[in-house]
Amino acid sequence: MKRGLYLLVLGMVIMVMSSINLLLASESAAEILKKVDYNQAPKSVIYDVRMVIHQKGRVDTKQMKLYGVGEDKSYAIFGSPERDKGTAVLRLGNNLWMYLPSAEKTIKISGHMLRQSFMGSDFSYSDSTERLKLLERYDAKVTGKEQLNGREVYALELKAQQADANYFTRKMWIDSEWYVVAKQEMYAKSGKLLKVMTVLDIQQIGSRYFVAKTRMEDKLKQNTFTEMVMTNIKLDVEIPDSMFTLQNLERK
Amino acid sequence: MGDLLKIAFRNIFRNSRRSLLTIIISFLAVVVLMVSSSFLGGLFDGILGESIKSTGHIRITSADYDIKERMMSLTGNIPEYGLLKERLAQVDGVVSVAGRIKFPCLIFQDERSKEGLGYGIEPGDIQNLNFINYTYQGGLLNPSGQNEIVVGRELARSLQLKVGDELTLFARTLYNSPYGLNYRVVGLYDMQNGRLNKGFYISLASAQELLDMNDRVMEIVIFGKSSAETGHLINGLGKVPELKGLLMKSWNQIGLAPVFTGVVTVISTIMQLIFAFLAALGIANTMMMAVFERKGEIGLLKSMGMYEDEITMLFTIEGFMLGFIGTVAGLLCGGIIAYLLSRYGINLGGSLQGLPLTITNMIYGVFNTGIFLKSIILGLTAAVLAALIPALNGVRLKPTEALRKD
Repeated sequence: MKRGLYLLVLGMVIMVMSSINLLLASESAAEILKKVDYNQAPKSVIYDVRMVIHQKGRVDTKQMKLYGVGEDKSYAIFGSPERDKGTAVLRLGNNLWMYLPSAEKTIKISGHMLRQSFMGSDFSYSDSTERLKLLERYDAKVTGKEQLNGREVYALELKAQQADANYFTRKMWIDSEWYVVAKQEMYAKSGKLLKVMTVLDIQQIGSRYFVAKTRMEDKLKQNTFTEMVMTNIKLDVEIPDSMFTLQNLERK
Repeated sequence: MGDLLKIAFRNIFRNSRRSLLTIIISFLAVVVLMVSSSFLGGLFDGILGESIKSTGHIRITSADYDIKERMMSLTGNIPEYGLLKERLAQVDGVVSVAGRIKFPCLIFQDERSKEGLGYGIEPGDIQNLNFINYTYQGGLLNPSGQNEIVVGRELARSLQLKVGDELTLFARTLYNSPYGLNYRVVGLYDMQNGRLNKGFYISLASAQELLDMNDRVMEIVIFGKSSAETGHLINGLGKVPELKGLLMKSWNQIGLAPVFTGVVTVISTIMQLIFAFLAALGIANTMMMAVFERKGEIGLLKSMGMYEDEITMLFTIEGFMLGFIGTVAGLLCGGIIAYLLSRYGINLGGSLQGLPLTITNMIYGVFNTGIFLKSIILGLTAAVLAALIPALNGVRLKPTEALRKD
């Protein structure tokens, strides 16, 4: 009889502890994301990008310079290869324009195309041109602490607050020291795995830890992946508004 | 025999209303047979003609082309086309070899844009695809015109394009990168086909540049002298080592056209036999009634020494004559309709466009001896058989029974 009572009390203690743990974890998720957002979504960014696209044995390298302000105001211009030289992209909110020097024409790309491949890479136009504040767009919960490549990471599950988010759910592994996404899996609303992103290099720039090299795999394609290497990274610098205009996009 | 003919002829007028009805049934059956044969023949020719135009007598693609084509992927392509073309042109029986690229893209003109399906074709293909007959405004694609485009009627209408206008094609390259080029509209075509009229054609070289597909094509179409020599072509091409690993299909193995025509042939044959049967039923009914009416007469003729064969012949000739008159009238009337159908055609107005087939809106009927022969044989055979059965039944009576029954 006594033994049964002990077991009952023990069970109740475990349940209470679990609940407290979950409550704390929920608060932690918000805290973690706040710190991640601080690192990943500065006021402005300027960097050079080298995209190395691996497609079924073929390797293409493309270089561009990207200017970004806030979450989704970006301008990128390609310097190489020769075929893409001068191709420029302007992202303002959900609108995206592309200037094609071969046709000397600017083309507006509609909303759904933002999810399509960016210049043949495994990144989408959205992936490449936005710096989302995750805390404002996703509900998150911590699912545990794990080891990833010898470092301690938080495992998080994120669910979009808006149904039309590019990725409805995400699984993230966040470095517990630097608060940078070390790896993430992006899923469709149906639960289908769309992409896997792995961070390969992180740089400390001022007070922020910023992703300097990443690898993206589009799981809807076979035998492809893209590495994106960011160099000459400048954060929180002044970028004139004239940079993000159609006139600038079409400037030869 | 002369007397039998005379009697049979006179018998026709003994119940002229009934004879007329029989003639009309026979007439209608032959008219329906002729017109349906002409129309279906034209429909088949149209489907197979369009099919061969788009596939050649032989089509060579990558092994996984069928899957890639549905996904509109450019990855199922054939590399080193230039060398392969030279090799294929040397094969016995090959009249022309043409590489093609089919690709999806966005077409921009001023502030308007439209999704469309484009084709990159070689100069030789302009003739294969019969552009001379289909171009209704402007001219043909210039073989060396790198930035020229000919546009289908539907696409031109939706983008309000006219000859001389400039437009931009925005496509994803083989490596999935966006690229755009400007083109000048040099011609507008109407292929009498809704799907093709929503598309456009540019030169193969230009398509290769736009899509970053240097020396690559999606398909190679090979034309021989005629579709009858396809087997010979296949044998010749089968010996080309460079084609190893590629998929070679003859025109009747591609798409749903052969399946469709096969199914429709079975259905139409059944329908035609039903019409022949109905005509036969009409004649048989008339002759059966005649036999019953004339039982006494049959008995009398038999008692006077007329042979059963002669009496059978008498009724058969009568039935044949009725069928013959109906058939001749039907041939005349059906022949005129079939001729008009072959001359002016019939516009189905895109009603067949929902089918997974390449087919023109205008269907021209066939007008040849084949449809006449088919109608004559079916019409007259039905008449003779229909008359023979009641006649055989009637002559089995003994003269005394026949006379008593009367």
